[in-house]
Amino acid sequence: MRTPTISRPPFRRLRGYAFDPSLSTQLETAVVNETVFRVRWEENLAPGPVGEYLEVVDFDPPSNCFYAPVDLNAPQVLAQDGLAPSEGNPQFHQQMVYAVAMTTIRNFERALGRWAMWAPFYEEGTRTRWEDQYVPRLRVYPHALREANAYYSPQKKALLFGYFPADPGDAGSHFPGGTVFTCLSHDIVAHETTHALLDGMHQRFMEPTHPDTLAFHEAFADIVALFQHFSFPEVLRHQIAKTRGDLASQSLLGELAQQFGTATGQYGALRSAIGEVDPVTKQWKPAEPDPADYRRVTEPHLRGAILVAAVFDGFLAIYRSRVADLLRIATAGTGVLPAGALHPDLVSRLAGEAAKAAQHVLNMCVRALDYCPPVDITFGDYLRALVTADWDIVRDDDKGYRVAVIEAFRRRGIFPRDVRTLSEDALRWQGPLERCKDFEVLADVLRGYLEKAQYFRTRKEAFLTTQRMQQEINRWINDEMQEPERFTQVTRIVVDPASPLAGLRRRTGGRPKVEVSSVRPARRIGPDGDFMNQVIVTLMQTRDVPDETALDWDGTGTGATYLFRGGAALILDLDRRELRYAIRKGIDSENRLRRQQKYRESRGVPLRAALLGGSHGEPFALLHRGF
Amino acid sequence: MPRRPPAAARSATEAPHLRLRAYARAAGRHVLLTVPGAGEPVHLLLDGGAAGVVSRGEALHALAADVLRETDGRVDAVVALAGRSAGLARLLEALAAVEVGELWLPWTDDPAHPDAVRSRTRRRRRVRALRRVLLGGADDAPAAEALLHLDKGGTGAEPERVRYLRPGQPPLTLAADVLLWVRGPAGGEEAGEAYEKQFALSVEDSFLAALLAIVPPPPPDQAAPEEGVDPLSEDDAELDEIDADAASLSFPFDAQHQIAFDDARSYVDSQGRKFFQEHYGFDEEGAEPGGWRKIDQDWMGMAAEVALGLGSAPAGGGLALEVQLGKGGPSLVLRPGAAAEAWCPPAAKGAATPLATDYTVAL
Repeated sequence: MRTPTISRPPFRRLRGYAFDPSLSTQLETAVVNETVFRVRWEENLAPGPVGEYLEVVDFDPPSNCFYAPVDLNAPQVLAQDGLAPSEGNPQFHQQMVYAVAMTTIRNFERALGRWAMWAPFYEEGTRTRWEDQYVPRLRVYPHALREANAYYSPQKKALLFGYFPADPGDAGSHFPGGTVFTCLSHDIVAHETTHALLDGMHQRFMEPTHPDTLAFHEAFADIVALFQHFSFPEVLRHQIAKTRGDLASQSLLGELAQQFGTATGQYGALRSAIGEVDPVTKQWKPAEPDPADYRRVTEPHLRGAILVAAVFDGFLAIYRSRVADLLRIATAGTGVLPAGALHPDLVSRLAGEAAKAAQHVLNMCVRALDYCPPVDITFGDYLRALVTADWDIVRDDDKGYRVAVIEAFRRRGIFPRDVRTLSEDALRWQGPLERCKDFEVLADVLRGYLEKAQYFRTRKEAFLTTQRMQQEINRWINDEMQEPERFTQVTRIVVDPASPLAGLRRRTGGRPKVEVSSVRPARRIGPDGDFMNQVIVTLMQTRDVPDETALDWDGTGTGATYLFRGGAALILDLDRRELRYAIRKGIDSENRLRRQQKYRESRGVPLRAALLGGSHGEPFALLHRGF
Repeated sequence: MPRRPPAAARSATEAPHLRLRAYARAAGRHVLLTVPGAGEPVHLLLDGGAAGVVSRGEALHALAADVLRETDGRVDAVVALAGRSAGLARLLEALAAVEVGELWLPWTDDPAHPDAVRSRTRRRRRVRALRRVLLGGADDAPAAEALLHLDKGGTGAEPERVRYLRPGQPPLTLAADVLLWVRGPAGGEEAGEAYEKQFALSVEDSFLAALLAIVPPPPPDQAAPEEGVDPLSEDDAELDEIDADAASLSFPFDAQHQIAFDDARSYVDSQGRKFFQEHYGFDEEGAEPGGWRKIDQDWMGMAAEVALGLGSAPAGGGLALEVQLGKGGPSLVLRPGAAAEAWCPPAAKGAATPLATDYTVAL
């Protein structure tokens, strides 16, 4: 007798909190707070869980103990959609971080159309073999710290989550002194996972070269966490019904980290995209965009909140546009909803539109990462990236999505530095005016790579092939380029050995060093069926600039230097064999150097560095304390 | 011969404004604040604490000479925003030629206030635990306490009066349109809930409680008060209980879930694998497979970071003053670590760092 073949399930169903445990103790939200994450099925998922992308290792150093790894393939666990949500069961905590992190990874991969990669591992001062640079899995420690903190460690390629006693005051909103686990907050797990994913794409975005750079990391992580709220159907319907379809009013959808916020003594969520609770009146009030904030605020989370609010505002405009016809139908043309509860069918339709709009905006935001400069990103650059990325996919913006986003940024005073107007045309990145033979050759080289990229069997194979490609491009730049002057003119990558640029790092023989920091394949299909075969190549250069602020107490210089980087993201259209866009941050830009210097001076000497010296290498560890 | 009006007095009497003279960082964190008084301008010399700063003797003497010149030899109060410290003692010594009216300290430094004594004792215990973990022994006590900025030196020169300030107290009457408030540290019976909050496990303290959990309290003979330590024998027992409770409650899960560190090496998972041996990399170091991702040592590194956090909030908060120019007018809040370096611009290349930089805040 033949055994019937059972196809592999597409998803693993895992129970978890849609937000965090605090909402399960409130009657109004308890019913929707427990959700089921549909996580891509991993055939060889081992206890931990340890899968293709993640390895959860539950070591609790402050308690000097480990917690047994959960086996998500155990029949009892599989049959119940995973373990039941519980604050007192560490195995559920492991399941929760795995489910949320995998959901976040999936959203990235869906938008980018390729595998997610973690930043490679290098040991400082040594040449690490490619094989050893490959980091297959992000390490996740659900109980690593006893403090109100959680962070991504770029050094360890790990997420460290803390736990802490809740604020003893204001017993009305939480259990005073009770333990709060950051690993049980969907928003915190999604936020930290996004830091790791972003680091995998843009490793220089963690360098604080501009008030916007660290703020961008924080904002982007919040944006992903926020828009993932809209992927929980029950929550969405519940909140649409509660707000009567008005997503600009206070709802769980627009707020981040409820439990963390109240447990650390705030009056509401940790952050909100659309409003805040007044600490005096304890009443929620919508936030009014103030362009002055962007000029005034420098703390990364607060500054990042401006970008989050702009993106969320753009989303709200898109949502309103999508549901306008529904509301007209439902109200006999008036658009004014009658008093009382909305009809469940209308709630479902509104929720469906909200989910689609949110997924569209999230995809836009993630896809734009391919269109960002590789270093020194500003919010203005990101706006240009958003507009260009969306235009590449959807030429005809008949629903006005791009206009909505541009307007939301404009209302918050976020303008790119180098455009004449805020029209869509002006905001789109530009390519070279004339064709350049060198880029045709480079496109030919990359065609073979893109072909291979279709058939990579494993992420490791993709990583190693890409490393070889980076080496090949490097060789091409140094040995085979035909028109170096033209190349520099287009990319602002300095390749001339005679360049007088001070402090520019050079190879033996004086040729400027060019680092090919990434090669990323991008095959996209627009809604009108257009195919695009692109490869994004990022190039980087570094200068050692004298640090004029590093003075001994008697005013003499210490001779210290700091790094000034420049680079370009080259987006090559392999079908047309041309350079589509060169997104540049010139290594030779004296204005940018002056801005960076000014920013360095405004930041002062970090206290930790002043006392302990050297770098601990954990940029998010202190940044996230209490945030 | 009539006395020449000092520079600060001249400017302060011309218009109702505050004058801030921020001293270069080499001298510590010091700001000379001149505010319009009921009659004469009032000079307050703020000591912002020594976190991240090594006070240099020469720089302190240059500062003292400047203060002497700017105030015509009298400072109404030296305000120890960060509380009592060796740095404060050095400052007062350097100010030997200056007449110092009062020394203002936060109430948490008051040797006669039982809550303050209790908080200091509790803090000292935590420091001892942290010291053992970070530095490995009592011999390193000065280094650990310096790291935590809790080195409580004497006060050196003698001001006319020492005052311990509490929130809400206006320590001085100033000009009619200038208000001076004490905003912190919170505490005392009148502060009610805020007081309790201050002594509850804060973010930093919860971390220290974690340290206590793995470093048991010293045996009674070692726990005996050291010389100069406030005698609190009856409170010690109560504190022991509180600390024990904090330590046990600080474990996030019941004991049944815990696998001891040493047992984890041999732990076998449901697939028969030595899970932690395979995935945690107990024996690997540095860049060896697994070694670079371990967090047991890294956690100690974080402890130093946490200690810095403590250093910026000595004795649970530090003194905070608010000066307001007119009701509802602009106000300036001065806290420990209210860093002079934030106000002192860096010197141009080749130029000497200026001793001080002046700022004015007008009505």
